[in-house]
Amino acid sequence: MKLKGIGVSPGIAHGRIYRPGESGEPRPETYVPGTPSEEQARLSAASAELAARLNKAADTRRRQGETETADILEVHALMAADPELLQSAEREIAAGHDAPAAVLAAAEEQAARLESLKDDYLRERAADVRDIGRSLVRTLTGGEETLPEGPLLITGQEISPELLGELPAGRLAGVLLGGGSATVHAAILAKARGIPAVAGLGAALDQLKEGMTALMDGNAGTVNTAPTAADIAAAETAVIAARREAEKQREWAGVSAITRDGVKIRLFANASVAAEVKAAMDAGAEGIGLLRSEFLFFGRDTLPDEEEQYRAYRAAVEAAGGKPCAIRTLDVGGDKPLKALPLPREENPFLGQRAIRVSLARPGLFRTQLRAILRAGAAGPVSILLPMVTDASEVVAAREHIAACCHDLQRAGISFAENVPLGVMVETPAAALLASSLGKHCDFFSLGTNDLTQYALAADRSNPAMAGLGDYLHPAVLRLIGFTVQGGGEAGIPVSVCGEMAADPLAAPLLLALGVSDLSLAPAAFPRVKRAVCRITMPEARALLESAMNMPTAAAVRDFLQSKLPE
Amino acid sequence: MIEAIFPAPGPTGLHARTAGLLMKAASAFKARIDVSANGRTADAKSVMGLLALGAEAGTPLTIRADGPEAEQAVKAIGAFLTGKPIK
Repeated sequence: MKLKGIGVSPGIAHGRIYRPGESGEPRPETYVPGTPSEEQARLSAASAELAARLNKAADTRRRQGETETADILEVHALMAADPELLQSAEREIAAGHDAPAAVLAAAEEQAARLESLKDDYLRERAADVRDIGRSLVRTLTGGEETLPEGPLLITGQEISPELLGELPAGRLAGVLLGGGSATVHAAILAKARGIPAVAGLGAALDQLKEGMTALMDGNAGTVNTAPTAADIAAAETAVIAARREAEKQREWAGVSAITRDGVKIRLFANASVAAEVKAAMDAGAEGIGLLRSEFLFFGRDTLPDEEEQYRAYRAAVEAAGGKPCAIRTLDVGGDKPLKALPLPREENPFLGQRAIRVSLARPGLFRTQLRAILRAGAAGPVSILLPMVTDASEVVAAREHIAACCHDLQRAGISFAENVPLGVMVETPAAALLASSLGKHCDFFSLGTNDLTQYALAADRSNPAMAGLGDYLHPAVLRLIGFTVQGGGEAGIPVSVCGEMAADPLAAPLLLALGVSDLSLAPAAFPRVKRAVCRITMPEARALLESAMNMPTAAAVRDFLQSKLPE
Repeated sequence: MIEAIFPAPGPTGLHARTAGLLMKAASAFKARIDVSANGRTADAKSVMGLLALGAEAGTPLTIRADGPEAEQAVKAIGAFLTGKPIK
């Protein structure tokens, strides 16, 4: 049997299905109710026991740096001892029900109240309340569960954070969810812990029975309960390859990218979510050079509110552990449509309402995001990065919005970071050519070489037929980068490069010679870029650049570099 | 009984964190404290009750306290809701 859902946390796992609750759900036939006053006493004891257990689990998680999980567990501890929940359960007991039935009814009543609200965030808390009810019943009935053997694939329509938190370390191999999306707590926590997860399996999930073995793929979003030997071998190969890659990462993690004659280029990481930030720090990143905020906005019907954005950015900033984090404002347009933000269809989306243009046209949307970023800045060093700028007017307008947000936050008494550095993504030829004047209005440049290449070479990067044309090693792109570095130098601001070029070992010597001070790339590419930098000297790099700049085509540059820099 | 009205704080009203902080502020007092908004009333010492008020930023919250230290309780909650920075 093969099931298909959505991959929400990457990785492959092979293990046994574990359906929590199924072996530990209330067993009325084994529960012997006492008198109403005994039931009251059992309920109070269970509530105190569960709250204490959740607080203890929260402490453990907090010590291990899993702030997000700890916060959720703490709120659940408050809920387990909540007076309204307990009073409502007490009324049920007084009406003649036993404690497990009373607590389930009380939780259902509270959950229904939350579900009746307009607010999406509060509606989602209804699932938390039902979890608490079930946990209380398990505590009452002493439902000690027997776990299947070996690695476990925890499976359920919903999985509560405390269940994930309570499973013995090392046993949890994967998470399979019937409901939900990448934003449900269990998916976020799985991702944060590097455990593969598949969500959205729907009713088909019920075919997965306790104890079955299954192979899950968190990248493809699939579950296979009858994997062939070849499937398992392929999965094991993938797991081993991932482990080798991780080892290589660790070997290089402590190495800096320094040329043989002692010039250092700093390596930052590109990331989207806190779990990636944490992984990047483990790989030795100096910070996050590009935190893409779009992931929060994709695949949903409503826009994330300030609180949700704030929590996500703060989690990323905390995961960076004091290292700087450049958060890029919403970078969407006709080419990356959002369900929650319908944009008009355009003939030429790459030349239309995109990125900063979308933000400036919708001040409410923009300020919500800016406020969330500024607030996250109170948790650690952040900067704001504006995508697709073409001239200084956009930077000036953005600064005015930022100043207004600071003013509002100050008045509301909400803590936030003042003087957050403002950076410009140089990804239009206009910005590159105007770099010296643009640099007076911002605090740093970040070269987005993917877009810069497609705009400079008039080659749509989403059109496969143009793939051969969009090479960032094109001498025209190199010259635009040169203009940008020169302009940044005149304005006295640093210039970094993000985009695929930053991850290409062939490009590294050219970027060094151009005077780029920082690169931001996927941490997986750290080892190869470090190796490329560590084996060259600045005079060698400058000689390569001079030749490359004067070549006629990208192909000529690429051939030349490949001959000079063999693997 | 002491009664006072304050707006629910921004930016998101009584969400998990704010509700938790309000609940902790209320729990420091022995008085019975109720919060009413949107036609519903909750025990200020109950996170679940506070969440279920569904109070967005700016919604008037009526605080009623009865019993020992009722006045101090309302003052402390008022300070939390209006002036004090939300850490």
